[in-house]
Amino acid sequence: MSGVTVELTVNGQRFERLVKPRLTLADLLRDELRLTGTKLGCEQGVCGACTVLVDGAAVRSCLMLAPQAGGRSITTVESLGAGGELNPLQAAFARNHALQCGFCTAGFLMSATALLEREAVPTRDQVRETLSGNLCRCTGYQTIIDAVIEAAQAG
Amino acid sequence: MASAGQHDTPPLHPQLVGRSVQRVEDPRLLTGGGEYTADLLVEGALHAAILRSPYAHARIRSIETAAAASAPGTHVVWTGADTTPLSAGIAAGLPIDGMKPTVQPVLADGTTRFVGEGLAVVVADTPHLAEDARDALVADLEPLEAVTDAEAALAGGPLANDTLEDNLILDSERVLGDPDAAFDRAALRVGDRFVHHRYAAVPLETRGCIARFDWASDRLTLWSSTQMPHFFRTMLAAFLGFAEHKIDVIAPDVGGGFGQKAHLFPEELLVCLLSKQLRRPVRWIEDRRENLLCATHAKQQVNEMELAFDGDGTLLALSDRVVGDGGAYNALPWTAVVEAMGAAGNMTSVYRIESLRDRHLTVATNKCPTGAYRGIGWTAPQVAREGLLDRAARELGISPFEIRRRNVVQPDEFPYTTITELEYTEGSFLEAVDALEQAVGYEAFLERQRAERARGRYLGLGISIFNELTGIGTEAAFATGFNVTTHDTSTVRMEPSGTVTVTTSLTTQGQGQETTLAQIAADALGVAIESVTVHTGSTDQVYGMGTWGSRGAVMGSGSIMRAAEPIRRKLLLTAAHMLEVAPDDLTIERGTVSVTGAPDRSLPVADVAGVIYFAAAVRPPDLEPTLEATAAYDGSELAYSNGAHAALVEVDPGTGLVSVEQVTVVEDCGTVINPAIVDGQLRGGIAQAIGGVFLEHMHYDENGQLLTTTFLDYLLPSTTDVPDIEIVHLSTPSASSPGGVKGMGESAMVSAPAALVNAVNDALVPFGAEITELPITPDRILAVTGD
Amino acid sequence: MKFPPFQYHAPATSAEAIALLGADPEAKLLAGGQSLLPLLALRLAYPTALVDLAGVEGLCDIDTDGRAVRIGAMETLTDVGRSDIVGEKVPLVSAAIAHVAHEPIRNRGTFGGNLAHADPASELPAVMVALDAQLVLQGPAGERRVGAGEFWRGPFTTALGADEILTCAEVPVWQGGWSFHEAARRSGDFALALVAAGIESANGSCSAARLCLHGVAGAPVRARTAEEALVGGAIDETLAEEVAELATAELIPTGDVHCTSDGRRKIARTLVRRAVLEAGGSVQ
Repeated sequence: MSGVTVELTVNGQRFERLVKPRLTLADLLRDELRLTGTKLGCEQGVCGACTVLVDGAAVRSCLMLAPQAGGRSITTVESLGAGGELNPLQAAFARNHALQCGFCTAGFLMSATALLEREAVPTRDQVRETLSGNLCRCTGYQTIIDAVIEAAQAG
Repeated sequence: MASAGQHDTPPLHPQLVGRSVQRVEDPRLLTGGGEYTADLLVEGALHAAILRSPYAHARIRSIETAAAASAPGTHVVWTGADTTPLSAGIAAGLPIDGMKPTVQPVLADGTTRFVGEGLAVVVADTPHLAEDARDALVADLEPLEAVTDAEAALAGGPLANDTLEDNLILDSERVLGDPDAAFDRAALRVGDRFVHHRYAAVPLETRGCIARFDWASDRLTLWSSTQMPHFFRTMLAAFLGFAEHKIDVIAPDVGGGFGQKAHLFPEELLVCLLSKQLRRPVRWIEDRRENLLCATHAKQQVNEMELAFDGDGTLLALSDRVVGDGGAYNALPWTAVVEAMGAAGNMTSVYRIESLRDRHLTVATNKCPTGAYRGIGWTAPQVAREGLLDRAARELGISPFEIRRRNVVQPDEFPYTTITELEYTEGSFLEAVDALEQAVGYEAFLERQRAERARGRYLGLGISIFNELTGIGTEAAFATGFNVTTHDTSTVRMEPSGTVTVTTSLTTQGQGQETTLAQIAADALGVAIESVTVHTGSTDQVYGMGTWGSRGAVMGSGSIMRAAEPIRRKLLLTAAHMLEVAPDDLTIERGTVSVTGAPDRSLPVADVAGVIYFAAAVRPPDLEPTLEATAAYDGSELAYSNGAHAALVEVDPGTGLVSVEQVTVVEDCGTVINPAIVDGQLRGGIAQAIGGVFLEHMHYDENGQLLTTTFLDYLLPSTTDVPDIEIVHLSTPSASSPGGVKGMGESAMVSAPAALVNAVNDALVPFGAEITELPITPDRILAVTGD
Repeated sequence: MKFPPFQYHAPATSAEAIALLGADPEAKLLAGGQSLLPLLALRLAYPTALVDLAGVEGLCDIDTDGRAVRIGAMETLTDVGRSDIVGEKVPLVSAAIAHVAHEPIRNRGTFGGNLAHADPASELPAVMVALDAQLVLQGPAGERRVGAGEFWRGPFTTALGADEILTCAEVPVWQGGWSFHEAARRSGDFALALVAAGIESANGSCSAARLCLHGVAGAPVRARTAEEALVGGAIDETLAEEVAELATAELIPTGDVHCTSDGRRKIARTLVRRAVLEAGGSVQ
């Protein structure tokens, strides 16, 4: 199992790493780059906790090999609110109590970020549908949907 | 017991309490800054992978380890033969007559008793290499007959656990009042057999633990995703023979617990033993398959319940026979009886029932151990009782609201002692029924239901009325049969700057204790919330039991308010001395001590604190220059919150699918510390209720093989399964708890499942049959609709 | 839950990819990976090598000659779902894609990967069979076309040879009435049963009918007898009921933890009835 050199951009910064091909993008982010805000909840592509943006599209980082990320631009939760304050979506999450344990939160934020890039003012049903691939065990979802709608309206 | 349990708390002066203060933990968690166990970088850590039993019950002939031991990166391979001499495992039982304790080995040794039990462990340089080496292990197992049906196992047959003399872990019966006479004279008897299935807490963060034994300092540090670090430390000392004071247990950010992480598991012992052996940190992060296989399961009960009514629909008696499927071992500390005995703990709930006969049996089976999950024990009998109430209402031709109105403890009956000797000092049982009926608009619903039925659409409304036993201290634990000592402690320290550091034995798994406990501390000391920091989750801090069983709010409030009081007194004494007034003439609010009625005569709290620490000449003589106090809380009485749920569903008779259109909650948890957090607990619990009733099922086949080991088979509810939820608040503060606070974390999982089941059965009325076996799957609906 | 070791190849042409497959019978094609990688995570598959098609030229485009829509195998499900050509010419495809998993999966998952994985309850194979699509396979000996009806052989089994690549599907334009119905435990889950229907009507009666069910047998089931019963009839409740019975009476689906065999058949019957009514224009 020979290594593969992967060159990618993460949160605007370029990285080059020699990796084993079986490393996932999630493992690369968490273990090699120490960006642990991206969580692993199932490693089977179902729970959505590991969702990141790849060239702007929401993707399961547990279902992408690190070599497949070569040449791509990755955005993780660490890039949001990097200016020392919460961005409008994060702030809406805080105001609406859209998180409890916080483990699923990064995935929801990234899925919602992609949605808001595409749809400036999504409907409640659109938000529900788009976030249906992210599982949360604490909130019952309502406040998450409230937060995304509020962020869209504020934006 | 009574004197040990009684703790007075000072009165609460709410400033922040009652407000939806934004959570202080959120900025960290929203930026990826949370540190959960798997996020921790522990230098030099090795990775453990565990080979798990593919059989429900088997004799272990041999485990071939040579290939794994020589695989690249492997440091050690252990089987039960290696671990048992180091630690017998987890001994668990409760001090109850006739209760059979068990010992769960660190790794199965000789016999394996459920699918997923650890057979061997590989420790390697990376998780990938550990799994590669695990693939090279070969276990030679001789399958034994598996016990998979708890009721059948009562009749004899093979033993699920050969260390027990039979499969019955506990059998307990009580007869209160005169149930025979009541059933004899009843004008109406309704009864049925209710089968509640097995499902689980399934926190989004799986379990995980990292042990680091440092031989030079002889210290053992365990990071674990747990709800009870102190308990872990005491038990690690007991089971591993380590000195307790040389163990640190740290719960970092925890990604949900819901009761599952309020148990000690074999893996926690295992990583400690491995780290000591290898002199390297060892980490084990549970994967999702393992979490579904072998973290505790919950809820499985069969209730054979019958209710007796007089001609007016007044409840005369309840009888129930509860069989709980306990799994292969007692999980520590709640044991296998957590379901069946838990059921008995609140059998009559909010209702006046003068006669009761109930029997609860807990049976060992070759399945994953049963453990605590939100609403322990109470979910299944609530489904049975509330279902039978609806059936009785239909027989009597009265509304489901009316039959409950006639039978709940009435406002003028408080204080009320149930026949099971629970003492209700207050409650809003009747008001909750009325508020729910109003909130759902029952009459309008009935019209809509009729109109839709005519169009071939089947809507149903179901309700459920509940109370919840919260704030469980020692006495309350004994009262409900769980003979465990349980209290918590907090230390409050005001710093010289007037800011406040709270350390508490409570933990947080998402409930927001860093915020709610800060609200309590801020109000207790009259300072701003920004001036308070709350530390949780480490054995560096004061001893206690942790957060579980809807007790965080009550225990936290009690211990913090008690610890803050002497500090407050010192501030008042010192300020009085400085302002030359009597302490009783002073008020502390918003960081200022002022003379009551003369706000211009005031001092900043920071100045007073500074004086206490640094200005011996200014502070009162004889005043000790410290502003730190520690207090425990062990409330003698339970705080009973109460409320009601309604669910509106549509059943598709052609596909058997159910959509939950609306859920309405009436909740009375007394004094609300933070409304947004309370609402969050309610909504999250209702999502779990929807999951439990319709989607989630630990599905074992007849050989004890678990068929639902991925998230494609074990289905959690998603955004499209959970509707927006309407919440109505009532407030009846507790007379006994600190500040009148009542817990409420479990209520949705106590009662919402019953409302959902009743809603489906209401929708199915035209088809003339009811569903009494969960989960409610398309198959079960189609069997009724006959399409 | 980490993947077992494998070699990784990123060929630039389909010829290279085919050669790599030919050289190593244990190698597997990697398209979007959304079905394959979970199997690796669970260590249910141990391929020696993965041949990544992402860099292979010519597998990504959507166009039409007016008679059929050609959909490249490596187009993501998201791109196919958003394609105007697809939406206009073969709207059944767009409708089916809305039911495939969730957005992040569709963003990586590919059209060809979905077809070739051959999950027994997958949406797109049913649509391909209903619309008589042609699947274009490329192997060492060149290109061949296989009718969708012959492509799926059973659960996770297709006509694709071990050293062949599915390069695209040619889906005949369908401008008649259509309907796609599926029942799943949750939104985005694999179906308990699903049906793709197309009905062309003339003068108040059905002139052509397409009906394909999936999730009820190992491979998509084209309900030919039911189609014949539809042609010439006026679509109404009675006919829909009759057709639903014809389409499902003989089915013996495989039961699992989500639904029994009998349950799936009943659900399929309901879905056929609804789909026929909708495709026939009786339901708006």
